[in-house]
Amino acid sequence: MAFKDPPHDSALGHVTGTSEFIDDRPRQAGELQVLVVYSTVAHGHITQIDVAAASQVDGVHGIYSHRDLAHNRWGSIVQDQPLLAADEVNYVGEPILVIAAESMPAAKAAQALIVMEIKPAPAVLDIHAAKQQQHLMGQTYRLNKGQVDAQWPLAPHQLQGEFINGGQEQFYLESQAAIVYPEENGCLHVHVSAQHPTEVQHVVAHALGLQQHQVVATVKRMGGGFGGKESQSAHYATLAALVTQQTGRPARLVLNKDDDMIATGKRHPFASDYRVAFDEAGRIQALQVDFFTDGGAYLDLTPAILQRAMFHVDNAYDLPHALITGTIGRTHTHPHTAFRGFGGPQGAAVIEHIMEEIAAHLQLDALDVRLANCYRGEHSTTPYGQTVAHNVLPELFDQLVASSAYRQRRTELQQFNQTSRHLVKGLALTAVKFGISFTTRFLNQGNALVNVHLDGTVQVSTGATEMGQGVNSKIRQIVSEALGIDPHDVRMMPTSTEKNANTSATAASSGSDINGSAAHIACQKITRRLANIALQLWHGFVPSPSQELSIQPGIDTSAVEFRDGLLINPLEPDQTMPFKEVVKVAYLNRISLSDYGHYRTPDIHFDPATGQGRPFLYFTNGVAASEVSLDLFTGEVKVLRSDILMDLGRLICDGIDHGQTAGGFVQGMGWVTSEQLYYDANGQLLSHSPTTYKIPSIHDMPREFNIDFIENHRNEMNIRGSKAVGEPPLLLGLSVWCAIKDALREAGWSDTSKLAIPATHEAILSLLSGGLTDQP
Amino acid sequence: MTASRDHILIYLNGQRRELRGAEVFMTLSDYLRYERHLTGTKVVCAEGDCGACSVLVGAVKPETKADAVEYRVINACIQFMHGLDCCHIITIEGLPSEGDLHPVQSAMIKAQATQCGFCTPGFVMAAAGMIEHRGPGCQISTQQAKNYLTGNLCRCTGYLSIIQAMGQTDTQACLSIKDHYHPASVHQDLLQHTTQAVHLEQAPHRFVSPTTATAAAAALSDGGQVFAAATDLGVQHNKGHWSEQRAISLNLIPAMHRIDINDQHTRVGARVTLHALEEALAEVQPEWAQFMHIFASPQIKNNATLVGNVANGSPIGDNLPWLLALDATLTLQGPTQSRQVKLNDYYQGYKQFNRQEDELITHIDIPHRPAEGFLRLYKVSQRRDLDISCVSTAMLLTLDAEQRVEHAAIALGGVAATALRLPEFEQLLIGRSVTELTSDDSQQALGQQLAAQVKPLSDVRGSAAFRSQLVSNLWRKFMLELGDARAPTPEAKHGV
Repeated sequence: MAFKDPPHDSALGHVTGTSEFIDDRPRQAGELQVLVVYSTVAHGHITQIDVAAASQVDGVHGIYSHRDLAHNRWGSIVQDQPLLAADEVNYVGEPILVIAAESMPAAKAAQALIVMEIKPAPAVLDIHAAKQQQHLMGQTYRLNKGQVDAQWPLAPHQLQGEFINGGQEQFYLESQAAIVYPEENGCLHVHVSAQHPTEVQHVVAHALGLQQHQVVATVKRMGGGFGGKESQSAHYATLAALVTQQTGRPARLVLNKDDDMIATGKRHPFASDYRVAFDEAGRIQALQVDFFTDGGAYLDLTPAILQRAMFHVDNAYDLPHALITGTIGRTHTHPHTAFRGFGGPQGAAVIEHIMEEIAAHLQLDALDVRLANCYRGEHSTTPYGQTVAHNVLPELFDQLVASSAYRQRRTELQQFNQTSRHLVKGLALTAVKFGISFTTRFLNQGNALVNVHLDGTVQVSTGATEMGQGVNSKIRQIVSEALGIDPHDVRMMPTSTEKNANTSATAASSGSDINGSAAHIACQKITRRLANIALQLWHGFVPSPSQELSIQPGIDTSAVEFRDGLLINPLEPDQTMPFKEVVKVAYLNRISLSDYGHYRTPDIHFDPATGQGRPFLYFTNGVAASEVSLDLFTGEVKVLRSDILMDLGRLICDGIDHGQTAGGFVQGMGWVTSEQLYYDANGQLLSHSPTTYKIPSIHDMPREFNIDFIENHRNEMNIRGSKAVGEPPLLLGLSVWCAIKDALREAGWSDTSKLAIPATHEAILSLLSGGLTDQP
Repeated sequence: MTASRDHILIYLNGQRRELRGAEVFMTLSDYLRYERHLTGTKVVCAEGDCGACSVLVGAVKPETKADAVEYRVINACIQFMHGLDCCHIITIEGLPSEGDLHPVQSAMIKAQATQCGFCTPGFVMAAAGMIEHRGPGCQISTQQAKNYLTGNLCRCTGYLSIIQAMGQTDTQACLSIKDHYHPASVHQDLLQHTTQAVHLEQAPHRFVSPTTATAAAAALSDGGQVFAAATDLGVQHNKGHWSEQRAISLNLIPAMHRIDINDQHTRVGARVTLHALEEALAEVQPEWAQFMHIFASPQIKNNATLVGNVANGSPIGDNLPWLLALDATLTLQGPTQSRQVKLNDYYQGYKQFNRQEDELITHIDIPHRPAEGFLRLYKVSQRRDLDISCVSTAMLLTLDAEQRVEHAAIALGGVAATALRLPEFEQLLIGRSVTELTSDDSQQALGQQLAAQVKPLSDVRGSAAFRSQLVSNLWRKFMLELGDARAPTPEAKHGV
């Protein structure tokens, strides 16, 4: 595959191992290592803590507790979570104490000497217990369109059931990590692997009793984030900052993979009840879904994630009557948090499951049920009242059905299944329509600082954080095109709250949209000034000691183009000038070469009280067809082929969008197949490392894997006509899960409604064997 | 005999280093990152499962000629420095190239095969190891790329771009790492050190690397832990489960590195790596060599040993059913004498062995599979590749001229406190014909009987019910394949 656009802006550093991550920073003299002591009990009361012996260990500088914090509550939406548990612990992995030592072995020696007693209390350990006991937190939510109850009896067919999905570990390769350096006058500089430096700054300041201007948070890059560093990094950065505040020394906190997996939040499990009424063609007449999610011990981002699940239950399908509710269960497990898709995958999974169930009920090909329900035209509305404008879903379905030879392969597959004795194949084609914007309106703003230097090279700082997704490469491309200069003359700077304040998390797939737009606004301010003086020069103005150039308000600069390192007035043949030259002239005439852009996403609103509004600027769409084979003896799955077709508007960086699509899809595939979180009867996560928690390996990717994009130049409301890509392809991993369901149906297992996510080898073999007992 | 050394000798990216102090007892990844500030080698899992810490190692073994040395990829996170005595280590910082970049690096950039970048150096090193193994100018197919990179996890790319990068690599332009880093002088220096035993103390640590098995057993009688490659001990150390500070290496004992194949059996020394064995046994043990393709990663197979797997004695040791089914024999060396033990008598309970505290395993004799026997090795895990098994099996039937079972050996792993043979079940099979065994009713009934003989536990890798069902189903799979082998049908080729 040859790509048109340049590779990732850090590609050279990545392949040579010179890209710097948090723990690659050289150790400083006096630096302390931070070890977090956490609860091994899911729910209980701390009755005794004695650190006297532990504090005496050679090399230990201090052991800190909640008493050392000015404020011990944090939370992205509701401040309900202690940074260090005081009297009560609410999940295994909940931080209680922080050890600061000169070396990690010294810290561990101290940990072994801490005397701690926690008296266990009754615990609610999983979603089923929370649902049964109605052990809840937060509020409930509701979206309504039409009249489900009135429509229900009118439809010829009805189905109902419960649909369950498990959680998913982000498994970013770089675990949570922060180094905090002391600065004069009690100020702190936090280097952190986080998607949300502003929240890190704010949580650190609040917890330590500092003002926000006393804390700077800087993010160079993350070794993966996937949502797991949206809120949760602030917690651990604060624990490192506590050590620096207490000792005046640099403090390094790098979780090992086991502790990270045990202690930090994951994708939300859901156990949702649905009922659906439909006609002979499988067209849905009415749908009710009561979402029930496991928020874990504290709210974290759960309310927003639950809302996004509700917003995505329609996925690509038109629901004439829909009633959607959402309730949050509280369990004594780590808080669940953001993970790529942010509830969207869980919402879409319900309806894709229903599509398969309707097809099984009516003995139809599930593709035909999907086509019968697909949003058509430009005027349909979602259950929350947003018009599905610029709708490309029918086009995507038609193109992929043809390019993947779906119908022909369906026939071939049925023939194969008739003769095969120990393998059975399945095929499914699923879709995604993903709403782009934060559903909390105030988060949809971004800012950028563009500094042009005297040699014509440029440094750009925005609120976007780079976690591999290529946001910096896209913004570099936007800036280089806006200024008409080579991308290599544009450098993306580390994200830092001293340059870009009050930013939003790099999340919701919107990093490039929001921050790229802000950078573009900043560039336009600069190019308008440069064009203004260039036009004056072309009209004969000669700067001299007595005559200084200044911006003339009356000049129309709109015709001046910036390309190939030149300023060009296409209306006059002789009027061109090198960018670098104009930059020098501007400086000598005291014209600013820097600017700041602020962007707010236009035309979005949503009223939670009525459940109606226009929460999304636009939708990113896609479809995928996957074929699998199941081994009837072992339940093993192979993904034989996946074809993906996406609408990403006009691509800014083709290679990056390609990589996001492939990577998101495989991550989604992992969620629905091999990635099982296994907790013991005490709420302790046992699958806390890659030997027991199985993300897809290189052999698991589809044997044949085709990715393509449609041409769509109509997304004019977004930067350069592009569309966000980060999360939507993950939802297409559901095509693999639906193909497994299809294969089980082909195997003669008529009731596949019990298949949950993930469809592990064990879950599949259990269905094939008529249900095993003793499921984990 | 030469006097013993008080240091270990390594080369690192061409630089000679003698290590004496606490560094000797560090893992390679800690040494690189914190002592040498070579931070291109990343650590994610610290258990040899993700490949982010991949480096290349050229190991010079006793009595080894320069042309037998290969630079191969291993995991730095679970490798102790003392295990690298007489090795040359190449990290991402030392990867040789003619221009600014190694051709793998250029191809990774061009194919846009990096996203967050944390796994990337590991992939580059594994890919460089692949080209080193297959030779500059080699063609890299998709399947080969997958096989050589199976020990490297990436969470960002979905692997598609990485595989494309492998296909686009200009392998002709790759320099041989060995040619670049292994001149005769380096080889001589390392080789000469393999003849000198090592004894070094760094309280509370001790490292002993004798040149004879009796000396190793004598050292063991003073206490400590014998290790081969320590691929499991490294994990236990990193996770805080192993704190034995006295290590005894078998590395400098020449016989430990030998594979001897005669007409009855293969004798495998305690330091023979799985990789070396996989190549050596392609003909005499084809089923096992095939099985090795889904066993562990190149990084592990290049380092881990068969005898280490046996000595570790995990109930889910993937090789154990095979060795049990073939009636392998261990030779144990004590301070004064050696003795032989049938592997089938060696496991006495969970991690309970028929071994005295001052005995160590020097080698294992593996009888060749019967020429007319029908042998299958199966393994089922949550993920097919690079995963510890939930259930593993070896099933062997020898048939007489009338297609009746003459000898049966059925062994299972993952279903009890140890891997085990099922003698009662084997007796049920004797004298039965293939036609009878492969009939639907018989398959079903025997599968259930086999499952009834084991009482597996539920754990993170699978429930007891799942394991029981697998045991029964794997028997049926075995029978299906037996039927196909004796009377091939067109459907047999569907087993892809």
